[in-house]
Amino acid sequence: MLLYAIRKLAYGFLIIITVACTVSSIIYLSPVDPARLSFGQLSDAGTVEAKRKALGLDQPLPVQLLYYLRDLSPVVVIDKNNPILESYSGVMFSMSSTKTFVIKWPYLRESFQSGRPVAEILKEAIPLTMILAFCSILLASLLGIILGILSAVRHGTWIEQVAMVVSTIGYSLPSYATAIFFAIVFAYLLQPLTGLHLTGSLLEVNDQGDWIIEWKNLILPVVALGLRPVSIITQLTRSAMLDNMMMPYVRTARAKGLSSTVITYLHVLKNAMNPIITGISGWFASLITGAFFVENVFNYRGLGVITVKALLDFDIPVVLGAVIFTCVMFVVINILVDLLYSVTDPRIKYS
Amino acid sequence: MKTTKLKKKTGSVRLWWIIISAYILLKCLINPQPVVSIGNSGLRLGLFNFSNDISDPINNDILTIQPLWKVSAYKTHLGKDSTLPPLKWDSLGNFHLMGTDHLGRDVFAGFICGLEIAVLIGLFVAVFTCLVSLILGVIGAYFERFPLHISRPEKVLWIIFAFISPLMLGWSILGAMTFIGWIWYLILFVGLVLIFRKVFRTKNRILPIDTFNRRFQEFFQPLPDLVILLVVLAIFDKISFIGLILILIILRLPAGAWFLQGRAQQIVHLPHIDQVSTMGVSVWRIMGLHIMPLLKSYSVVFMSLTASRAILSESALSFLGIGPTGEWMSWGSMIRLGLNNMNMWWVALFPIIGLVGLSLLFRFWYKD
Repeated sequence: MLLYAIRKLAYGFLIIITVACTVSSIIYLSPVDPARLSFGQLSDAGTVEAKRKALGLDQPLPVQLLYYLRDLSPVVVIDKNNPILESYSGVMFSMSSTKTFVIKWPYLRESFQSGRPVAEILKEAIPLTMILAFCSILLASLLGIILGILSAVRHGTWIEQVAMVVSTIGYSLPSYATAIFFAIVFAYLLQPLTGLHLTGSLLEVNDQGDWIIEWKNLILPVVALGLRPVSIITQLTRSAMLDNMMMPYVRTARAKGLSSTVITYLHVLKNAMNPIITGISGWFASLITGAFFVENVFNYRGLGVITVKALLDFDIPVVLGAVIFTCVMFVVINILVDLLYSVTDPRIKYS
Repeated sequence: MKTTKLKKKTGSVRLWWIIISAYILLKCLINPQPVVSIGNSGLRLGLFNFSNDISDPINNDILTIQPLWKVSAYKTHLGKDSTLPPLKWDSLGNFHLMGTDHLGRDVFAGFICGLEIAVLIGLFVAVFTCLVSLILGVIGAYFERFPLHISRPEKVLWIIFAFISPLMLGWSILGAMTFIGWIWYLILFVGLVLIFRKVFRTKNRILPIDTFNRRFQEFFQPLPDLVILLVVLAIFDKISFIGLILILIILRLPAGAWFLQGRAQQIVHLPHIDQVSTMGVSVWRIMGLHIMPLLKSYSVVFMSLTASRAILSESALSFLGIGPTGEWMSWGSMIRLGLNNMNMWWVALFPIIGLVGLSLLFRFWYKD
């Protein structure tokens, strides 16, 4: 089990390194010159050349790539008088008179457009996306499990048919379509009744210029993002419950004289939870990318809005940081889901 | 006496033919132009005659039969006829089934263009992904059952080849490597393999063809599709229709090859494969005639799921405003337009309905 986890982790690490290499090399190869980009039209050749030197763009491509990986890695050995040391945030250990050993956070460089560190930009955006994804998965699992239990208990009736039709439609609705639909209905047509805003982020600036938390702005994105997981979890719960209801232990329990409520909620539901939990945790990862669209609809300043804006502006470090962060999230969640299988179902053993 | 009942052709297959031919017939009635015409802007897929203004050269010809149902073009038409709600006639006598947007463009025309683009993308991606992953999966499963024995140095050579080839593919995409370079590379590799086979005779290793699909899948599985698409779009800035289809195929390929290899591995262990291989039937014949036909039902399921996913991916990109740009109209960009102009709910509503309907249709296609 531990060995399996270590092997999976090593493999995930390899994937992240490969992704970082590929993405950075491909993006640095593209025809746009970031040095020109950060000044615009009002610059002379000397300034651009100096900026190129500062960004390390005058170096050959493999060297640039190695520099990026050096900034990214948490452990590094470099010269004491290297100016990049000022940007690292971590602990330094002196090794010799010239070399120093640094344990640091991954340094994602600075944005070409605003000049701010990418880590700072991401630090503002990631919590917003996380809150959005977490709230919607919470909503989805609550609603989905209730609907799934209902349709499994009322198997063969109109309740089940309605739930199945609704969940099938909900599954094939892309999240941005749902988001626009909700935006039009609840924030435009029914605006006087609901009082919701068409666009807005969780953190907003009020008239006095202070940052305030607007919980109201979270409602529509959460519902729009959660609709697809609701349908998945409904179907998962229903099929898991129905599978378990066919098992011999249910017949035994019924023969023992237990009431059907106890059988359904204490025996069947407990055994059916296993695939549901793994399904929910697997969907959490894809919700983060699903949030890209919903955020763009509601202009909710999370990871998605920042990435798409950076892509349109060709702000390479921000795109790289967001892509690498998303990949790390995906890899970590996938490993956790794999391990969760064996925790929830003791019959599964990894060797 | 027992009579064997001939299997009837199911009605749904006939239904598909009826739908397709009715569509083409309707198009010919409304539009006297050929179904697909090569215009100066490449492949033109305008199926209805979208132009009713005289300045358009297509309609200027006297010999052209005038369309029965005048569908207004998806063209700018500023004036008081803009922003018409659905089911309205404008001052020129055009009927707008789905209304017009703020520039006076007919939403129905855009809807039909988007439908064709979506169907084309879905079908192309599904069929080509399925074909390539079928080939990869069957080869993997076959060589898992009947392994190829090779010598140790040759295996090292194969591993080097497997690592260098993707790199060279990347170079050739970026223009650093030419077609001639590939030919030299392949000649060099094949020559080395042949020399190694002559020199090293002890064949105590197995060529791990079946693990290729697995590694391929293991690498791509944790990467979100959208992120890969965003990166590719960031590199090429402006992407073409064919380019988008290629990327979507590459994205869906690992999952497909892994899925079909898993199914083929069950088939490879069936007794009839043993029989034909002992009879001395050639490898390609076994793969093509004895394994692939048994995978038909699985491929149809895979194709239907791939098609609906491809449609959603394409419209998602167009929605974000970074999709393929060109002569056509995509549902995603219409939805984006509807988002920016909320008072025209019909601009966003009809493409959303179309998107959901089409992806549902593709999803339940395999149930036929």
